Amino acid sequence: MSAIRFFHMADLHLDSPFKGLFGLPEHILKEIRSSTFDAFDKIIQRAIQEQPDFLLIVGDIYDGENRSLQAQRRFQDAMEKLFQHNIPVIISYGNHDHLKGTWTRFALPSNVYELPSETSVVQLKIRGQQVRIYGFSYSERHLKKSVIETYPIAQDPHAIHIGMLHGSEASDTSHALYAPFTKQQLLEKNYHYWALGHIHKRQLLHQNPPIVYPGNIQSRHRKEQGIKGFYDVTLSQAACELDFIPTSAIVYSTIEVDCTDVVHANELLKRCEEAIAANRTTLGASVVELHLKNIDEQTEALFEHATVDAWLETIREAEEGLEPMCWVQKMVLQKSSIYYEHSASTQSVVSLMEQWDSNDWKDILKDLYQYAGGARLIEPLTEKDMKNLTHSAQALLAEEIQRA
Amino acid sequence: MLTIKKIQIYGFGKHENLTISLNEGVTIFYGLNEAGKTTIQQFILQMLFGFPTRQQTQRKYEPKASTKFGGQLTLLHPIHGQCIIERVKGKAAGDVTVYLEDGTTGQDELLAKLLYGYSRASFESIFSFSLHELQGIEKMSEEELTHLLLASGTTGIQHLSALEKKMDKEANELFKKTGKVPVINQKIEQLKQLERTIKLEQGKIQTFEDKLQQLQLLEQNLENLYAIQKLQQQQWLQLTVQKQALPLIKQQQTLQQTLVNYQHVQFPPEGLRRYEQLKDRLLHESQQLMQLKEQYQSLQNKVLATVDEQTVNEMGRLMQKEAIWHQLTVKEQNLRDDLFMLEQEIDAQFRLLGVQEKEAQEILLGETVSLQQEQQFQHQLKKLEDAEEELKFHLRSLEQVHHELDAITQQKQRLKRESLTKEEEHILAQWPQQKRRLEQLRAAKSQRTKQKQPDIFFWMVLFIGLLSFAYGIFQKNVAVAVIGAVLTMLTILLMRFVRQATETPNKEQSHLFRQLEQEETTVQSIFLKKERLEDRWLHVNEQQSEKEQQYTKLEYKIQQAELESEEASQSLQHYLKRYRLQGTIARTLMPELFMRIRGVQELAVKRKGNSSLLQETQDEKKSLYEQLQQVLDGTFNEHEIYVYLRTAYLEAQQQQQRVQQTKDQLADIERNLQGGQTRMDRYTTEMTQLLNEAQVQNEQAYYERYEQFEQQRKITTELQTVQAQLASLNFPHDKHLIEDSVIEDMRVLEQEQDSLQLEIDRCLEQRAALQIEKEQLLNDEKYGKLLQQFEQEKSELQQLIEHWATKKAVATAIHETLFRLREEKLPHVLLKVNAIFRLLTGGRYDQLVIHDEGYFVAQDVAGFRYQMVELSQATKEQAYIALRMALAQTLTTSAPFPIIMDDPFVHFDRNRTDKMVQLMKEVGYEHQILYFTCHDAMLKHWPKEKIIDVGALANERGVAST
Repeated sequence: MSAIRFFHMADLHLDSPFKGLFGLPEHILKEIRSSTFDAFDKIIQRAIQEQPDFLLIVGDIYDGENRSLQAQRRFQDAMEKLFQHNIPVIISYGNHDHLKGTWTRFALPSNVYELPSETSVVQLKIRGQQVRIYGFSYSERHLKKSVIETYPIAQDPHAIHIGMLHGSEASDTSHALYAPFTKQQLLEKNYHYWALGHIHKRQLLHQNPPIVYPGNIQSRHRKEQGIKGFYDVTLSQAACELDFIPTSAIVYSTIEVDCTDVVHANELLKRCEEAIAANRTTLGASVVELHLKNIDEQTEALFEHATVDAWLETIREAEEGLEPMCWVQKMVLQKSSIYYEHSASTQSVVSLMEQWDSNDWKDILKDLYQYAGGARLIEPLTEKDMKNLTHSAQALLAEEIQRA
Repeated sequence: MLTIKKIQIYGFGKHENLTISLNEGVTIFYGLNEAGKTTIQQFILQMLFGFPTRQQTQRKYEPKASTKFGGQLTLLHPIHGQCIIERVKGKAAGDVTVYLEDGTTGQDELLAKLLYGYSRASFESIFSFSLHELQGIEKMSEEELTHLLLASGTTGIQHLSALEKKMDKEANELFKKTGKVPVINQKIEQLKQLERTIKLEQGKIQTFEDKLQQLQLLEQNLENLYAIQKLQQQQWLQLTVQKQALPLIKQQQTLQQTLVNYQHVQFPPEGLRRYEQLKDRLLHESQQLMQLKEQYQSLQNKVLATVDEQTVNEMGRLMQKEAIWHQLTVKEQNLRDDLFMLEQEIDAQFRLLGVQEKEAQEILLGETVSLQQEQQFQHQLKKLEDAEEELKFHLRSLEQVHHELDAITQQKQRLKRESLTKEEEHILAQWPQQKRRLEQLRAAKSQRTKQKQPDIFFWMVLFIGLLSFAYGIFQKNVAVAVIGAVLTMLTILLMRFVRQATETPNKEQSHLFRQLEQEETTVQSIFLKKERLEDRWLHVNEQQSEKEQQYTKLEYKIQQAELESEEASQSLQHYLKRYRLQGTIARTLMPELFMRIRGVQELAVKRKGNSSLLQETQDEKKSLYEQLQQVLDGTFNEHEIYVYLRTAYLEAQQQQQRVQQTKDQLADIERNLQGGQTRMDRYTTEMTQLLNEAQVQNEQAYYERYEQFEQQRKITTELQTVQAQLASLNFPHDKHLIEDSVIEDMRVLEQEQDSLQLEIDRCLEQRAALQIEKEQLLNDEKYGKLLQQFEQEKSELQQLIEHWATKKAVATAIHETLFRLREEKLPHVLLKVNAIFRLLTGGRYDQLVIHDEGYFVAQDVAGFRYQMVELSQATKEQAYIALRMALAQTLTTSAPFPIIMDDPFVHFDRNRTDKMVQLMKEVGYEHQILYFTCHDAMLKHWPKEKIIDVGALANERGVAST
């Protein structure tokens, strides 16, 4: 039995806007905006170069209603290219590109199999090896019910069985549940490979048979940190070889800068620049958050006369024009804890804040969150947000008290 | 309860190596000013919360004298039990080490834990106070006081309250529920605007599909339109064909009509040509016949006028004899010439022989001239010649002798002339005298000759000089040549000198001598000459006499010879006479004569033969000539006759041939005539046949018929062309066309086509526009950019919201804290405060009440309320202490710190001081109390073991007070 080779990718989110960025200069914005396309182009080029037997795209090619015509056309062009190289592509649409969408649909060439909303099987014969690929496409935006039951249990012992599923594990509460499944349910199907999508973080749920989230191909906000890409899979009945191929055109990362013994401004700048340069070499073009660590009172003095934003601006200026580009999105000061002492009064304020539960928070912030005009535009308040808010509020309090 | 058990100072301020053990409850630190009370107080605080940093304003107690800085505190901690805090010089706040009961050690973090996270500030604000703070209360505003009270008397409270206001303000600047100016409100509006724009853009994108559909529709439309256009084009093509066909059809019709008229016309194929050919031939033939006939007639005539054959044959025969004729003529001529020549020669011979007369000639001819005769004649002639020869010889000898005689005579005369002159005779005569003198002189001279010997030497030298000179020159030896030349010169000079020397003295003598010698030689030569002349004279005379004798002998002989010759010539003359030869003939010609005569005789014989031959020839010739004349029928010159004959004969022959030819020709012509006639007949028949075929009688009609036929044929051809054109137009034959309708159709179709084209153009235009729009949509990044912008704005909004939320949170937290303090803790605190206040004031005042506006007021037992400023200094201080103590008591569980007081009761009277001591004792059960004082009044209230004399400590140093 010969091994087959395919690319497994998901969550392309082509031309999707980047969240959490502002104040970018035009050229960087442009580079960031084209990064999903760049990442996708890398995949297509590699496919043409490597000639895998087929490609699996497990949902979320576009970014929902926000899909642009350009994105669709780029995708169509890419499929045409693969068509010319005779590489089949199997697509199962996800929650962001479900079948009910009113958007214009571009006709795709005949090498592309678009899975219907009913779970079905695509059969391929590759060098004599029968390959069965199971999957479905989202018929609507929200698919809360489990669909794993509709996947047949693998029967043919000679064929290679691959499941495509865009959804999340039932136990994973950090994401909205879509087509939930459990690991056990997947394993019961006796497939050789589970190609999952939807979760943007690369994960290997199970080793053998592999149950894989390849992650998205390009991160789109600061929470999606690290190098993104897809899996180049070589699969046979007996074995599976996973090769992660990075595609990120721009990497989000956090850089920690040790500020021990930094007294002068140029020292601080030098540390930051060195840290960014190191980041640039390892990750290439990137959007970074600078976390300044080990700031003692000496270093702190640097920030007494210039705000953090002013420092950020200075660092950005220093990075301006360097290639590959590096956009410093944020600068966070991590001060030594011993420095500030809460007084009893502030302590009580602080402890009060710590006692707040989500209802308290909602109550406190209700002015805004109940504001009819902005409801849609304001991100819902999460637990994490509250935690962050608590921290920043404490920090602010401390800072203000200190200043007074 | 957190209790300080032991204070151990390594070095701090003025204290060094000091250890103080403390009891539970109250400890009084007593000492005069400068005793170091405050130092100990500060030591405790700094040990717990760290040495002051540069930024902080507190005093540093680093000892001036010692290098040791720091110390130890031994605590009894309610949770951790006994533990030691050691702080020594190190970093700014000092290096701290905490040793716990269970053996664990730790640094700052552990210390913070031990201290319940309290900072120095918060500690000081509750647990540590002095008179200074109490005095300060007077100056505090009511509000401040209230805040202080609310915040458990902490120092940070005013800040908090200010902060709350600030945060509130800032939060409001960021967002207000009902506002348009705040940043977030604006941002939201912006975002909404942006959202609308995105919606609009989305709407545009939605049109993409419509546009696609429209495009498809248009495409279909266009296809239909093109199909119609194609149909129309076909129609148009057909109509054009029809239009083109129209005149052709018309033409076809006319042609067909005309053709009906010519339907019956028949004409043989190539009739005209054939007819005209026949006609031509006929004419030609008849002309030829005529010519032939004429020819025949003339030839006939010619044949009749010709010569007879016999004459021709005769002529032929004679012609064959022409050679013979010529031979004869030549022969005759030759003979005549020969004869004439012979005659001439004979005459010449005769003349040569000198025989003129005929008879003589006859005789001569008859005389024999045999060889015998000739010999005889020769013999006689010989005799004569010999005689004459002898005569001649004698005559010559005579003449010679005569000459010799003459020569001798001349010699004689010469000799006579050569005889001696008179001078010579004289000299001879004088000579004997002279001879004598000469001999004298000679004798003298011989003597001198001996003296001349040296001359030879000179000559020798001269010779040698010359030789050497010559040698030098030849050998190019300059030296030798020079020597030679010099030698020669010297010799010559010497010789000349010598000669002059000798010559001069005997010059005259020698002169005479020479004269004499010359005379002597002259005389000797004259002697010799005289002798010789005498000899020769004798000799000549002898010769003369000899010659004269010879001469006479010869004269005789001559006479005899003359006689002999006379005789011989006479006999010869006689002999000649026999041949009748006149005159004298030279003797030399005699033999010739005989030969001539013989020649003449021979010639005569020849002449005779020739004459007879001539005769024969002439005869023969004459007969021939006669024949010729007969034949020629005329007189002709003998020479030309054959020429004429030849001409005549040739003419006759030619004539004969011509006749023969003519006859042949005549036969030919006759045959031709016959052939011509038959052909003519045939032609005529053929012509008639043609006429018959054309169904006409005469030629005129035939031609007319031809014209008709041609017309018919032309029409047919045209018709064919038209039909072919129609066929090529692919036009159905059977269709009937009406011109007007076709044109009308075309007009209508054209209009339709125009309108269709317009429609197509419109569609194309529309399609192009749509295409462009579609492409624009496809390539438009605006939507993506807008989305990105939206996200960005959203991020900013989020950021702002975060700011707002933070501020809001802080504000709320402060507000709530204050509120809680007021609403929840305060009543509890107040209860305690009131109890303490009541205690301290000895029941004078009942309670401290919070005014509606948030201020404290004191209420006395009677129920009157006093504002703070209205209270006495001590009462105010008591109120303050009451608050602190109450707070400390409420915090017993959360912060069981020792209370440190620095002489705060100076304004109290004894009564109130007692009350205070009572309170301290009460509180002392829950908190350790460290009381620093310089007033001994306090001492009496406490047992000694609770009192530490600081001044004594400095002296005892290191000894624990008990």
